[in-house]
Amino acid sequence: MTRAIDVVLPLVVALLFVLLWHAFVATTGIAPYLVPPPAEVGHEAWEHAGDLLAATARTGAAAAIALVASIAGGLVVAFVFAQSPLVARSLYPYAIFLQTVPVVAIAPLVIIWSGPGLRSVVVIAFLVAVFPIITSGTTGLTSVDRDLHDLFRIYRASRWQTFWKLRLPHALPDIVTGAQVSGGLAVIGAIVGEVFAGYGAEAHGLGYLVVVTAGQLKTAYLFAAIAACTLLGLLFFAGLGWTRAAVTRRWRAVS
Amino acid sequence: MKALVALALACAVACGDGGSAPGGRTVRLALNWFPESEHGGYFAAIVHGLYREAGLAMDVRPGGPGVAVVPRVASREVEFGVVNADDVVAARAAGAAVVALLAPIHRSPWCVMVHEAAGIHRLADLHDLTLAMQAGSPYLAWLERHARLGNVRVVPYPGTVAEFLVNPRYAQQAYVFSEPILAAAKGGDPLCLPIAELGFDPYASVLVTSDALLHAEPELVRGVVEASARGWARYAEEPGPTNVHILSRNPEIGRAALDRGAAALRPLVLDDDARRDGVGSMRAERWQTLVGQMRELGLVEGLLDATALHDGRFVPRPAP
Amino acid sequence: MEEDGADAVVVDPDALAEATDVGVRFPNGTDALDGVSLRLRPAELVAVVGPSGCGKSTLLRVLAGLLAPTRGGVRTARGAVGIVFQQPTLLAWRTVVANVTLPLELAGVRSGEATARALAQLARVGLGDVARVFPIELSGGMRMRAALARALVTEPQLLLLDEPFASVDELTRERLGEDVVALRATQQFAALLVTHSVSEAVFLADRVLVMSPRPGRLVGEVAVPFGRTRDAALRASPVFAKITGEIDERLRRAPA
Repeated sequence: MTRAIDVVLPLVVALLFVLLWHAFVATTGIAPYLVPPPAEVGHEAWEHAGDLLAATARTGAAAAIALVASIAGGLVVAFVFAQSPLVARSLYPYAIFLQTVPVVAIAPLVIIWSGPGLRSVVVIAFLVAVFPIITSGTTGLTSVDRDLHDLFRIYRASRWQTFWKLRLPHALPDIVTGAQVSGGLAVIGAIVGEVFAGYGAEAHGLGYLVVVTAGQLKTAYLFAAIAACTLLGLLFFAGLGWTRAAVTRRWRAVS
Repeated sequence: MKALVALALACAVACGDGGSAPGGRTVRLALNWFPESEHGGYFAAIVHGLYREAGLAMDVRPGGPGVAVVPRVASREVEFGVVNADDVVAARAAGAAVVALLAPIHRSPWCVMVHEAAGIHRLADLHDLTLAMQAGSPYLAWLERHARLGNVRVVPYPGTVAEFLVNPRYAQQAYVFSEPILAAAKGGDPLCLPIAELGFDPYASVLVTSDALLHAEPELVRGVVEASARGWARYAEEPGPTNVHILSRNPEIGRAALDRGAAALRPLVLDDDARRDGVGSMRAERWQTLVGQMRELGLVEGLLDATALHDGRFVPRPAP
Repeated sequence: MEEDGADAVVVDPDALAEATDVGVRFPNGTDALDGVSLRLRPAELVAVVGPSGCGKSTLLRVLAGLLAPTRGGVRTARGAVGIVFQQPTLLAWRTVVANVTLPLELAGVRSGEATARALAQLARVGLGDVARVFPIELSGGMRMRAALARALVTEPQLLLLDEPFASVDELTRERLGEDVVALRATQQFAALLVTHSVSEAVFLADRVLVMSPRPGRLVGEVAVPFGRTRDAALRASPVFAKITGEIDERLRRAPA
């Protein structure tokens, strides 16, 4: 249960930040296309509220699709790793390694193969978001107490029964924690994907807005777009955090 | 042997980046792309010693994708920059105090490159294509307003001609002296449809500096503008030696593309306006028109004084 | 009868579980068990006591079929086996009743019948009121009782208890012991109890086997004459003290 104070305190910090920002701009007289004053950013956000909301929705949709695909795909891989130690030992290091390949290097490659548009954006976001699911899922599925495994063996449970009734529920808290990380990464991946994939005939995402406003030196609008990116990321994080709390509330590990 | 190494090192240090070189006061020029024939006049002024004669050592900083020139000039990180006229308008609209000094390319080289075989001869008739354009560019905005664009799918500009060569229903933004020449060299059938045809005609390869520098050191600015203008006149007549130099700074582009590019540029530089008012001269009405057009596109809000955008007082007039 | 082991074994038709000359050598070369033989008859509760690390838990795992002996043989009667570990090992994400139905589920029993049997078993251990609660909300003692209920829900012929009450405090341990006694009165099962608590062994068992330190060998057997009905007062009786004393003596004398 989030208490009021947990919301109020960060908001106070945000307010202080805005005040400091305003003071900084006012005293240093810095050029508005480098650091616009908060009032101007707010004005631009209000002016372009419709565009910003539409772009946020578009990016959010791409990230959500990628997240669902990541959870599904990641769980399949985690399942394979958990069921076959041989496969796990051969491929798991690559799962770790591939996480380090920067998305800005992958994105153009994906565009070349798959063309610009929503599909590429989702693929790029998927490639970024899937790995935490694989690692957390594999950990969760393979970290079960030996005693619990013995219990299932004594009762002659089949491999499928053991997976479905023991390993998967045991892994669920790990998986939703991984999903929370993946959610943030999916948003980042979608934005980066949009920067490269640009736009199609459909509406634009936040990545597109960032590129265009930066190119046109409309820095206040750019700040507003960045704020929208941050809020989208927060939304995913909070939403998944709430899911995680709901799942694990009664499930804290009991010996 | 050791003396030779020491001499080589001393040369390397002396000829290195920044600092005061034997040539005199160092000034930096930021380009808006990789070195190309588009920047020919500035390189020609280096190659033919025109900056040196003015007591200046010109340090050219190449640009590339995503490199912003205007903020660096406005903040005086570099003294001069090369941009297009629409960049100057957008910059001043955003509050960046940069001013245009010299506009060598009098007709916009910006065009849409289509396949000859597609049978489209006017921009207004673009249809049934995939069109690769840079996001947010005013050229795209103008095209969308003034051309029919029936069943045209807009995709991001890739920076190469690779897709154009393999896809007959593909068109992309291009500069008349650049991509079409590359495409033709690789066996394609490019046809350039200039944006100027639709009435949007910003100057290109414009030399800019910050208001502050112009105010503080007008003589320095004069020296650079004069040398650059003479460099452009030289490049239009005799691009060869300069192209060798440009090739050394951008080996990927290839000598042929540079030579053909220079040839395509010549009529855009040595036009009637240049013969009358000088190479690189600017006309106030053109700037006024451009500001109005950019306002029409929604890229300029509020008041903008077109006369503050340009200051051509140092452009050398032709001998009578 | 199920057979599990390399050598031929002597068959006692009455035995529910039989270990013959069982030895277990771990991959690193240490011997955990060295030639242990025992026999369990129906409805008898046998306790195995010994110092920590003597291999008594290993013996239990061999009898459970979880570990194959490197020497000797094990036979266990076909039929359900129940097991209680040192920790309750309940599934945190299931309610108490769902935990108890687990063995029945795994055996393919219909869910309605499984729940009914589970509830009945829970009532027998006094947890009828908390059937729908999650394990995290229970005390340590209640969780152990739930584990006990789970072990007995399949009405096994053999119950294996591996230091089952080591994780709870002494008072709870005594009460849990009394629960086991009560359960033996209403349900028929043989049991093997592994423990390091001599008093617990004497309170619950019909026979107490004494094991030497590693490598484990059975070095003595003491009969416990108390019969089925035992109450808390028994722990204070002089006979009780005498028997525990005797076992303590054997433990001390056991060759290291």
